Amino acid sequence: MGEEQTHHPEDSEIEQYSLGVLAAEDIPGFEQHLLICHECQDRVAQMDAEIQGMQAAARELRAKQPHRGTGYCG
Amino acid sequence: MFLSCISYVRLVLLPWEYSPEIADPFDIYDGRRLGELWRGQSFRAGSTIQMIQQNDAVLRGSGARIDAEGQAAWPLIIARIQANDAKGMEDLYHVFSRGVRFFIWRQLGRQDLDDTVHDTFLTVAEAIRRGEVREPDRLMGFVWTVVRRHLAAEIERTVHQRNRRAELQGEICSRDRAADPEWRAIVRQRQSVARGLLNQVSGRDREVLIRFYLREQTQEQICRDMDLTPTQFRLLKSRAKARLELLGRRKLARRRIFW
Repeated sequence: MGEEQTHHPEDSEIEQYSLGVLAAEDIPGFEQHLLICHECQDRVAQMDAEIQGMQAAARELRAKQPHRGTGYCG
Repeated sequence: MFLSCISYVRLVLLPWEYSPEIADPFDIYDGRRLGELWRGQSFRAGSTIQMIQQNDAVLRGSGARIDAEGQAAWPLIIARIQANDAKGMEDLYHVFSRGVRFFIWRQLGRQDLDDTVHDTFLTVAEAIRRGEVREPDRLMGFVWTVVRRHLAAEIERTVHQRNRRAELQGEICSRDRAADPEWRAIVRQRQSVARGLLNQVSGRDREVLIRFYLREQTQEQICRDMDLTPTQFRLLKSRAKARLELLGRRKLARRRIFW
């Protein structure tokens, strides 16, 4: 089950969690902390919104400028 | 809904039939009898759900206290629930209902949210009564496992239903947070701010942001491909975040997210 984290995670961990790239071994402790920490629940919700907004804007930009040779093609 | 009612009876009403030491066990739920709930129109309108919502306000203010003292309180909560003490059920709900609600909302959206939270709570309470929590100090680990299993089962069921519908009617039914109009509005706001940022930054900065957020490349990969040091990468990202924050403040008041 992993150990429950006793400290608030860093912004970078929240970002990794929102992006779904947090290391598998860190997830149980992180999520058990989230279960009881309201502050971090809010931080994750805000981060989710920011990342999804950024992804939507980036997708939009890519659709408008598909061949500008900026090096991305994902 | 029907299954919720069945599980409610199986997990809550039946155990208390054999608990004569509790004068009125139904008083746990906001001073109203579960029997009334049972006869009511629906669980969504029931007092248990109201209790979740009322407790939510209390919980928002008491998060730090729970953080600091929570671990020490788990064995006590477990002992109370096993002794059929109503206070134990109440405390368990106080401590984790908001967090469980958050997890389920994040994965499945608002549809059937109250029912799913409620079912999860009953599963945990029943498991505690049966003595299945072997390490009382790590109750949250146990709760987390139950929530994960519930989510996995719900997602599997949704995928199955979606496939069936697609086969039968050619329709796809979405059941996740993306289907929530309120969430979509919040993301649209953020998208508008992010669009402003992406239009302001240099081509190279934009590429880094797109690689990181859209293509989900790792920092190492981006640094390698774009000949950046980790410090340059971090600086670029923190600069972009600061600008995003500034644009966001200009464009819209930070919107509170509820679940």
